Amino acid sequence: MRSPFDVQTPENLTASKMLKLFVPENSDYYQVEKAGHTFLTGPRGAGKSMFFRYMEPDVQCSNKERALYQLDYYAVYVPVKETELNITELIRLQKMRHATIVLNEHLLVTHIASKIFNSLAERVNFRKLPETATLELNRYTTDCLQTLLKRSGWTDTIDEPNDGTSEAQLKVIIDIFDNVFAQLNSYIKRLAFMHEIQPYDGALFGYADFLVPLIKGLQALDFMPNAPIFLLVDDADNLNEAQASILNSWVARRSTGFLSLKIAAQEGEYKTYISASGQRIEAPHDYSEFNISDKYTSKADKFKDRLQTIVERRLEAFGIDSTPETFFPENKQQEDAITSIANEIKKNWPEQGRGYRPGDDALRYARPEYIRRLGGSSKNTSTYSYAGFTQLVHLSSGIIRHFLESASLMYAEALSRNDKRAVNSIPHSIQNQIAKEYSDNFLFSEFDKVEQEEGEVGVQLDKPAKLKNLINALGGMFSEILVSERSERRVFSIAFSNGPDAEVKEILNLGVKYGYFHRSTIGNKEGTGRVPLYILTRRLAPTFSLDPTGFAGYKFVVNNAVREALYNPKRMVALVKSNGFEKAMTDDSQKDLFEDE
Amino acid sequence: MIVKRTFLKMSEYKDPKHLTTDQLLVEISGHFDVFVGSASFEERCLSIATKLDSNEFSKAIILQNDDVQGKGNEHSSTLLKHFEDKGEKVVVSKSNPVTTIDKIMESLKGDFEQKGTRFLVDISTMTHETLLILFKVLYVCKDRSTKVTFVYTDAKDYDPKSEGEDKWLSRGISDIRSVLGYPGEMKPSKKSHLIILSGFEDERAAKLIEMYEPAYLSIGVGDVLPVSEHLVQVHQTYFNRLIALQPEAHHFSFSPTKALSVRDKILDLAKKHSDNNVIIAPLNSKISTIGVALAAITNPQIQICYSKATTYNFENYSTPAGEHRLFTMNELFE
Repeated sequence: MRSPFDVQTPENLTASKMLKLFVPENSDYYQVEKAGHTFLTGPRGAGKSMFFRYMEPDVQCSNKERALYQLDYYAVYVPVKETELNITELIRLQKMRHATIVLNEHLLVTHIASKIFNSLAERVNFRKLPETATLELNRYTTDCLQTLLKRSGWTDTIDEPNDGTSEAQLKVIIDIFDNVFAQLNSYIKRLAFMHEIQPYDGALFGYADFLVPLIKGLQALDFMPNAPIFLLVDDADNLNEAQASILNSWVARRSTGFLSLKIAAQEGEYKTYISASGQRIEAPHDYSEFNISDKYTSKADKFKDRLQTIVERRLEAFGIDSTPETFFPENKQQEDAITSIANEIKKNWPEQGRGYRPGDDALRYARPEYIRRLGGSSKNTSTYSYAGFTQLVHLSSGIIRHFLESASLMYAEALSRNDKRAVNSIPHSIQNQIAKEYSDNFLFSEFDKVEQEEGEVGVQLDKPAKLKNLINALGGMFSEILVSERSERRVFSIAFSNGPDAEVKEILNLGVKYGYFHRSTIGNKEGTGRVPLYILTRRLAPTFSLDPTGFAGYKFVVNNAVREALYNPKRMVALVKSNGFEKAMTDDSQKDLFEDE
Repeated sequence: MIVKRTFLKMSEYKDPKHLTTDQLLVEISGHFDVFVGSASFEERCLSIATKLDSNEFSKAIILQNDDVQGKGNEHSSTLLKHFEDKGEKVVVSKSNPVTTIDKIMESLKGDFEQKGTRFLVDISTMTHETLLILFKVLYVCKDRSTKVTFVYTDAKDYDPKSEGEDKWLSRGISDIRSVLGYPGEMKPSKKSHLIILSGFEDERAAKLIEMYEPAYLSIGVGDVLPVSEHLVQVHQTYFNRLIALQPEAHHFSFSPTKALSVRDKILDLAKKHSDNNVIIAPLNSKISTIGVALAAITNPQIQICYSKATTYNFENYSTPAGEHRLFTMNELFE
């Protein structure tokens, strides 16, 4: 590691490193670990792959100090790399309507079978197992595996291993699956130039006739846990639609007694939830579902505690003797000024207080007041500093990678300014500079992806344009609220008292898909149920000069006003600014955004 | 019919000819039957084609992306007008490569069936994916009597309205896929070795690395002086930015104008990590992309990937230089 915050591929981390770096507490980890099919969604960098790596047998054996056979499950990591399974030539099968499902299933099963034996080779130390383990493996190969291969049309013979070790035996098995894959690959290559259907005459592996008995046979071995096997399918959004539908068919089967599928994908990117037979799989009937970044939106302290532990461990592993707070110090001058304002507020509380206690008012208003005073006639709200561990945690908006990536950039910058000497803390100026660049980059450069993927040719104000308008409108309005006299100034969220209608909902959901909003729920005003709550990502706080530390602030809005913001963002910001928030109306016809408090 | 070919060794191969426009026109005049070019938002797509004598050609295939932006349609009209009734627009798909290969094969089928057809292919402004697919079609479908000559127009400048590090050609990645015809042999037991021929698009390269998470990473930088010297500095800056984020990566240099040299470099790199699945992302010149194609044809275990950008700087992409490169398919084979 060149930096304590390097984002490393979990696959390459050793068991001991995983135990040092991974923090399962204050997350959904223990839920994901339970038997049963699971979908794990979340943005890239939220930590899905780390969950999976932690579940693998080498980490589990070390963590729980147990032998392999004593584990509660055996987890096989099945990554789906970008162009590993989704080979472009397969589009030809779909075009020719030729054996799309059968061949894609064979591809998927071969891939998974190979990963199962790779897992045994890389994550199990056979030297720590009883001597009988190798004999068992050999017998499994010549009995169970050979029978399954022959039955599936495989015509080769299984080589004798070079020596009597389990490593040699596993190599033989892995080579078999590599060769089966190569055979299919050879057929796939010809698809590029094919215009007529040509039969495939190699071995064909299916879920029920091959994968299930393969897994059951392994489970029966004495050295394996007498417990389900988990297949941890990572980056499942890299599967093509046919492959995803096949996986869904497996989810729909009742197999949790011996096999659980844990499927990780970026939110909104998994190609389909329809199975190969056309049925939709549903939560919680067929699977449980966890969104790995939801925790932040509902329980911010838990995320902060988790990130604190993660950073502590990373600093320690890198040999840096600092706490997260001292490594990421605040801008002292700014914090002293805010403290001074807080004291002022407490002093004036008896006459002007709004909250129950002086401390409550100080917490709610000191920072916003500081930002407001920066504005004044010089409009210097952009000089507010986002330095300090607490603020950086909030800016990461529940996604660990956001914190690590920006921290890594900060570290690199500090190192380059320090003539490559050891860095024991990041100057607040650097933290602030990188935080602002990271925020601007998200709204400007990274938004190009939304425009390209969702843009509508010939439409003047297409969905990405409306989304950008909405983000700018809400960001601008929240900024106006922050420097106003409203009782709740740190607003980051909106909930709907009526709606949202289909158009507004579509744009908000687009924002959720690309990480500009989080989605949660909140009790409605009548107290009779819950309504959707949309939270602007705190990652954008620097761009709009918002205070990222406040959490509870939300506003009920009327649908018409939000729809107006899709088309006329500047007008809506000006309306909020000119009308003042205490006098904001809820009358739809006046198109005022925020309801009375 | 696939003809077995062997490749020239490094010490034997010729560099592409480097010619002015006038020299190029003299070189190619009267020697070709079919022109293949592309209609792009770049001015370079017109540099050679509009100076050719259309009477010398029996056919001109103008490849055009179905979602071409900027002046793409205008340039397409210009090219078709230039070739009059011999011009044929072939719309290829950026979202469905199978459509692209089918359309290309359909448009050139008759020409392959005729003995001794002479193709002049302007590769300057094709997308890397279209070029790779076209190259594979030519490789598979031509016979000994077919002659294929490639021409390329150098860029005088990229993003001429911006300076230094502000220059950009494309942003973001909307899709990554293997290139049709170069699927490689991705064995499930092996880890991946990603080789990137970097160019001006360091952001695209960085995203590719993030998405693949390869076990091994090799990043190449072009080492030849381009037409404009200042571009060297810009290129180096982007490369430095990329490798700063990837301290463990292996670095290498390559020549953007010598396809055979690129082929050999890649084959060497693939051999060094022969226990890995090798994936190559060509993000540099079109000539170096042909080098990548040669490597993947020599070693079919190598996969070539294509990353579709989310946005192109189509209004300001490049300005053409009055200099060109010329080389033949035969020079790549014995």
